[in-house]
Amino acid sequence: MSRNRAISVTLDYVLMLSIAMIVLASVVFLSGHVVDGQLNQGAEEELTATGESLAADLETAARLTEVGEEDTSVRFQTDLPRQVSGSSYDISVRENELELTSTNPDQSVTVPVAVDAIEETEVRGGPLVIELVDGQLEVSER
Amino acid sequence: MADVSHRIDRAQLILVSGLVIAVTLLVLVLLLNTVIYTENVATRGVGTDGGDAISSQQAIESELERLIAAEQALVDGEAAWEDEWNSLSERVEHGTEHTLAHLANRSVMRGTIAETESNMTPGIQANRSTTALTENTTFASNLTETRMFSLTIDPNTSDTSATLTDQRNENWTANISVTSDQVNVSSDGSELCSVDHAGEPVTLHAHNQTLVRHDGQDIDCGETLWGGEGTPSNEEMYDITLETEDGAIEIAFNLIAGGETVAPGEDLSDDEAIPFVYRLTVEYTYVTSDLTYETTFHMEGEPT
Repeated sequence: MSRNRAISVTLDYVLMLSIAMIVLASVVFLSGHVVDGQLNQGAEEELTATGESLAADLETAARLTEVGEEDTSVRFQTDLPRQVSGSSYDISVRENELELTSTNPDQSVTVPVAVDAIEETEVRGGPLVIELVDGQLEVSER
Repeated sequence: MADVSHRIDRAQLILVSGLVIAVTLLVLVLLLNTVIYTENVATRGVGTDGGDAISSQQAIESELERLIAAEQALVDGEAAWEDEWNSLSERVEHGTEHTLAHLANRSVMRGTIAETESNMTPGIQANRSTTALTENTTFASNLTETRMFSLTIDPNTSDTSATLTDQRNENWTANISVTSDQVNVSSDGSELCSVDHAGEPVTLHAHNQTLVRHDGQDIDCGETLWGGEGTPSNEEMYDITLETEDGAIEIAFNLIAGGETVAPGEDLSDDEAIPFVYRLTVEYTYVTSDLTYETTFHMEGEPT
């Protein structure tokens, strides 16, 4: 007697497809979580890298201000990306720190910057200008 | 039948394996894409413009300071002041032009623009060792800045006095009187400072308002002596003259000062007046596609 006796081909297929669908759905669901996590981490890393780039430019401008003696003027253009992980972001410039905030995904990072004489302001991420005005550095959108 | 079943099992295995590989590739692509893009953002725009501007400025300062010192060392004070100064200024100007032109060329080769303009302020060191002065003596004329102004008063001739004055403007005076036991400094009738000389020379450092005994004890004479209202300043040119009053006064003096048209006093001999570069001012502009930096800096010379 065959051991396949009383098992229909249809049932066999249904079982096989069901198991395959369950496996596929589980993999897609788990992958989705992993992808989301990677997107968030990627956005955070991009914001941090962008913030550190701006901090380096601010410190360079501050160094030029220190080295200059009389009648010193500094105007520095910096090309930051307009979007991070596909969405725009804002930069809060404060004394000794920068805070970069994106909305999608909702992320915020703080980057230290060794500059004291800086005007506190908020700008949208993208091409910026750093200028020396009345002894203080000012960041504005280009 | 067994053969069909075997083939079905194999097909299922291939299907599931294919799905797993596809998902794995998808996840890997996402991970690597994020890593590569973040690395790209981190290294984008890391320029050296600011560092180049600073190093270029510091190179100019260093070169010009060396130039000034080297040319100053050739001044021996044997010729007339004006001749010595003309020769010195010509050599320094020529060297400065050459240095700045070389810098400008080097900048163009690197795709940057560095422009400079320079201006020199002449200076004078007027000095004389202890001498009995019986007549008015002008140390230097047309001054706008004084870096050092010291007089050493020898009390050998007592009961004598003299007045330092800016002569041209008559806004400032400092009277020095020597008695048998003291040296007194006063201005507009008010005593500023005095010291017991004990028969030894006393030095008046007008530029930092102190009267110093031979043993190093110093007395503060206050801002009225130099630095207060009426003190000669770069707002208008001045001369510094010592006017004798009651007979001879024995003094030595050392004045280091500057001005656009500075000149030694008529009573000074050639070796008592040494020209030097009081200040070399450079207006510096550095321009790249991202950075515009302008500043003015100075190099101070020293007499030999």
